[in-house]
Amino acid sequence: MKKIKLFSRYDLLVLIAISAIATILLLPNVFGNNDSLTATITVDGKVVETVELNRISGVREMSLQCTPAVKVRMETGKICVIDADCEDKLCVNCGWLDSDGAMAVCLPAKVVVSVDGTKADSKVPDVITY
Amino acid sequence: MVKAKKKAICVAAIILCAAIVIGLVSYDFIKSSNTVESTFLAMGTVITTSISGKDADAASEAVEEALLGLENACLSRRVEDSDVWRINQNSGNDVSVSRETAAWVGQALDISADSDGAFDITVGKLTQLWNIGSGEETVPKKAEVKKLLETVDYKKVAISNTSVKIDSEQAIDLGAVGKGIACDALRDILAQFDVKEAVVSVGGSVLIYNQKASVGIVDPNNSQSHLATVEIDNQCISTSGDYERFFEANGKTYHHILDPETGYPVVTDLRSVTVICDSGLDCDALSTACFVMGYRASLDLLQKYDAEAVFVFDNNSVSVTDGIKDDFKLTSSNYTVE
Repeated sequence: MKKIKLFSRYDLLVLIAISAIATILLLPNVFGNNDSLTATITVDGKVVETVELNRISGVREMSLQCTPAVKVRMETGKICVIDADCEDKLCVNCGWLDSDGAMAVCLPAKVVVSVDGTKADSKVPDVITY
Repeated sequence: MVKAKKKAICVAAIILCAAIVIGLVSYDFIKSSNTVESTFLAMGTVITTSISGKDADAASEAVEEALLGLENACLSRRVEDSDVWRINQNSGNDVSVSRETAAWVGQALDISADSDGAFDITVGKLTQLWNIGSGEETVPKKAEVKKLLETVDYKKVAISNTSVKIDSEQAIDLGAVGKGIACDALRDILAQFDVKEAVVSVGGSVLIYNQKASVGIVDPNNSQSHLATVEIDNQCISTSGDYERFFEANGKTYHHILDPETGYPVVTDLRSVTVICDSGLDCDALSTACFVMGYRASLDLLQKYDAEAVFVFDNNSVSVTDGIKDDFKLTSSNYTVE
């Protein structure tokens, strides 16, 4: 009985190549760093700083160019507004922002400090009502 | 012949596998690349949007533009020549406004009537007196509160086609429903674009557009955390609570939700009320009304508007209306469900 060859050498090469490309493209989504937390600071709608919080070592402080003055502090995995020269200090009272979706806003200075992370954790809601 | 047939089947199988893999990769790529997320300030609050679809970029820009227009042309009581500013400046007279503003005022008045005045847009002068959230608050004198309380009466507001007339002593304030109005307006804007789905938060009043989403309800004791989640499908959701804007004086806390009957911040056993329904304006107005009315008195009102709600009490217990019990999940161990 004659043995039938299902795949030629070239067919296999094509299959392996396609699989390799697909795997490379999907890898970042499957094995991406689920612990990443990115802080974005905007002043009057313009992004002035984007920081990967987990890569910060020690303490970093930053005075924002805005009126009234606002100062933020970053440590590993977290960020907060430590001082704001406004009346209500709502942004300062927000405390440390260390999870996906956390946000501190200073309306008088038009400053928004927000933290974004991966939403692999099913406990993280898509949005918060307050 | 048989060999050629088997070879053809193998090639077809390889092509099919390749198509599936490429399809999966492409879907993942297209899905992520067509979602536009933005955060900006408008209407005196923070707006966050996540819009997916072919026209996500254009829709995102239109949303931002629409919100600025909404504030300046219609809702602001401070911006000169806005509809609300003109209504208040010309109190006692018919004021011609946009068709939308007249409709929103009418919709708000309906809830005022159905809540027997627990929600009332004519508290404008009282909210100005208290000015809670300005950072410069003081407790007003009783006589001042009493005097301005006399101006509060939604029944004195008259709407005729696109004109609105308030009593000469009155001022209206759409602040309590402004974010919900924005959600309703943005739904119409999004519908004009090729948008697959969107989540928009206007200062915590949320529009879920063409999708299901998990919405966290903020913990009144910790604004950076949520106490529960609720699954929403293509609806709006709003929360009114005593924690958002308040000030302390003489050892007492004064929050921003005024009782139209007393002129003072509502005294209640509630910390917050979250309402879910189809209309953003209704959500905003109902959450305020329910906070004023209290749990039991609110249930009939909610039923009338086909709305669901989550009540958070000051003893850290939570009550959920029947329609969303299956979609509600407590996430904080500091609270219990009644």
